Amino acid sequence: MSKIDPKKKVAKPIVDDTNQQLTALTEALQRERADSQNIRRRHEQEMSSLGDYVKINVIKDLLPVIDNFERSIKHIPNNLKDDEYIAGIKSILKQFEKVIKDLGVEKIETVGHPFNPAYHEAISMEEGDGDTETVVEELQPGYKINDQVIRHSIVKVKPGFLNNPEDKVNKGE
Amino acid sequence: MGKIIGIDLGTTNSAMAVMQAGKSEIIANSEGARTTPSVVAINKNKERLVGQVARRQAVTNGENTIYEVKRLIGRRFEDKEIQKDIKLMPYSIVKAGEGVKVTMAGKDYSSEEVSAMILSKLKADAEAFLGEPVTEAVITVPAYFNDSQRQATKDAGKIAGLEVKRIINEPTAAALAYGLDKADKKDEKIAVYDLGGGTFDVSILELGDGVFEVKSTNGDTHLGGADFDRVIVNYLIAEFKSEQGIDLTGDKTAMQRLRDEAEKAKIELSTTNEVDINLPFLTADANGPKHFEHKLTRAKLEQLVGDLVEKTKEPCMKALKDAGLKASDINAVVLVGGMTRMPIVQEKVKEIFGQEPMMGVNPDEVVAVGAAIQGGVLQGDVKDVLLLDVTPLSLGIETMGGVMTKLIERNTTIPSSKSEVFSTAADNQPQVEIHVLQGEREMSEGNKSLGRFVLDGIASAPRGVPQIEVTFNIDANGILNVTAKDKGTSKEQSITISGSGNLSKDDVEKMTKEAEAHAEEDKKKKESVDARNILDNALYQANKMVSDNKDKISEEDVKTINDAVEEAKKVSEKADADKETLEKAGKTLSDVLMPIGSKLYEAASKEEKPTDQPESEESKSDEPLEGEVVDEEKPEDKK
Repeated sequence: MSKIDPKKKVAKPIVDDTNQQLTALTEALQRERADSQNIRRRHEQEMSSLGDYVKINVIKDLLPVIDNFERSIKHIPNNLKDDEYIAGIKSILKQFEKVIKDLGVEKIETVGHPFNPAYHEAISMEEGDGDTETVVEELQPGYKINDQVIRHSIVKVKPGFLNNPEDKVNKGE
Repeated sequence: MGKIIGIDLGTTNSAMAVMQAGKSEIIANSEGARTTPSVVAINKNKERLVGQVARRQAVTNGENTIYEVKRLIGRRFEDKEIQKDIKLMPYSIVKAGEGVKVTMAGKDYSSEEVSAMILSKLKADAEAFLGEPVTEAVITVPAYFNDSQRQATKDAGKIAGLEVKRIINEPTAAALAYGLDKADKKDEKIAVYDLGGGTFDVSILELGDGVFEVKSTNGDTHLGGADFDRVIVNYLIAEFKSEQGIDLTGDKTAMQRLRDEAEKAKIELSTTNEVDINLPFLTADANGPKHFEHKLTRAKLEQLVGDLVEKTKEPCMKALKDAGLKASDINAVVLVGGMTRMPIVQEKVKEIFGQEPMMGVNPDEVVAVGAAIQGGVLQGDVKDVLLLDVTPLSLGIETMGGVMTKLIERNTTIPSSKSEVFSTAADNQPQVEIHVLQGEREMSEGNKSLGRFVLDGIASAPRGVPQIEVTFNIDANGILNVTAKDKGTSKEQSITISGSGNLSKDDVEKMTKEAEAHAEEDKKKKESVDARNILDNALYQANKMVSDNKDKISEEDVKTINDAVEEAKKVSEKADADKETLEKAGKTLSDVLMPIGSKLYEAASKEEKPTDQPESEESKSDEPLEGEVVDEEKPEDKK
């Protein structure tokens, strides 16, 4: 139906345009490459720590049960202290503690140790003097796995260094 | 080349995100958390602590732990907010020049410096996450921040070693995260409802030409998630007291457990209707251990926090009023802040604005995501490219007279393919140039040139005889391949154009508008070109008739034709001749030619000698350009 114009016979150079496009696309490709390398690297990291990650989440959910077990042991009525039934319950707690220890879970050290917010969460501070701060009471135990904190210990802190914590510290029974 | 990260530098928590392979991704901090508390401290060992770790030591080091520094940044000491904060904050706020400084470990720090400490941690964590240096960022600020507060935020970035490429408003970032900048409607009105940890903000935005304008803001600087948690905890304390007669408020361990449980219950009740609060051995008295078991229903929770939720209504109404709008004028509502996960909050928003709010992006992260998207745009990662599932504009080639002949119409679903046969415009034309065009204008000069190529080696032939098949093939990725093939010699040439879909929405709009604006003018131009082409063709036919039939036409007829040709040429040579003049001249000429042509035809058929002129075979058509019609193929749509 149409005819192609005979007046325009020579192709104009489109090289400049192409070069620009080439630069833009090369840049875009480099960015995509970098992105995908990054994603792959992180994916590998995540895959290798996936085991710990799953463990941590499961253990975190189980910790309140262990906490309450421990609390129950602390509250044994005096007339039952030597009861064989209670001894059995205590054994169950021990078993529980062994299971999580075998999984690589450690209890975070607290009382008598310097306060370290990387592991401890302070919820109260006692009066005292000194430049260092020491944990004087553990209100809720904390746990870690491969030095990664599962749950921070909740603690009470007192300024000053305690040489022999066992003597001076109220263990919060 | 490093990434531009997006940072939501919040009052209580901060978050950051980055564009990775075209998608936004939240950057977890070094502790693996997706948000970082905006808390900074210097401890007794002069160590700087930022984030969760600073918060965990706050009670031991209250006077050296700075939180909510965002309330101070860029403000003057005299501001009444500062005077209020001086009374509220456990750390000391001192006058420094016009502004304020805070004291940590005996040293004064400006709020920019403290914010910079937060940003430094975010920067370091982002570098660890991305495995490359991070030097550029987009940081968000509340819409109501003034220039001084914005500048101070920018300075904080600079101190932290970040070039702040842009400061954007938090509500704008939230709208960006939902892609509202790409809304089709003009003057889109957007409400952003942000119920965070400690503050409530509502903003009304208007989007025009890709720019978000903040029409109004309102809010409550001391209303947030912390208030909700407090109400729930207080209720649980009261319940326990009524059951057991024991006041838990002095028992730090019990209070901690109660707070954790309240928080958990609040979250669970967003998806379930009832939770069991179970806290064995919560406390003990002389009679032994006390347990707390309680059923909390969503209805009860909603009753508890109902007043707090209601408090967000008035600021919303004020914001609407200040923007001069009614709730029904709002086109979209965006939710920001963790508290907006609560169904009762969503219900309230629906009640206020009369529509379902937008959900889908994590409300804790939506601002950081928007900032990252902005960063991506600045970096060129996120191009405002239309998804190419249809061709946004028509595609075609330039034909005689500078006309664009469309092969693929706009809005054709791709992939698609179409062929059409063209011919030469002059006798013995050895080559044709295929000039590929994109656009809606009738004339090629008004359209975008995508590329051109030459098909040569066309065998010598009168105009209109060679058959050049031009095929446009556009694949699913928007890559256009144009092939021209000389059917006579089977010679072909082609060009591949990958940019045919790479038009921004603006470009497409601009080109479409231009086409509309110039439609009348272009139509006239095209009609006159068409008329001129018809006339030129008639002239060509006339000359051909005379030269082919020298001995068959009487001298008288030759003279008639030549005179008519001379007249027509005069018109054709006038560059500004309009359609009517050209058409008239064309008609006059063909009126002269037709009887003579008929005579020739009659004579030829009497001699029973068929004419070898291709034109005459098709003279059944009543159009004078008949000879040009070589072929026409139906478009085939490959779907």
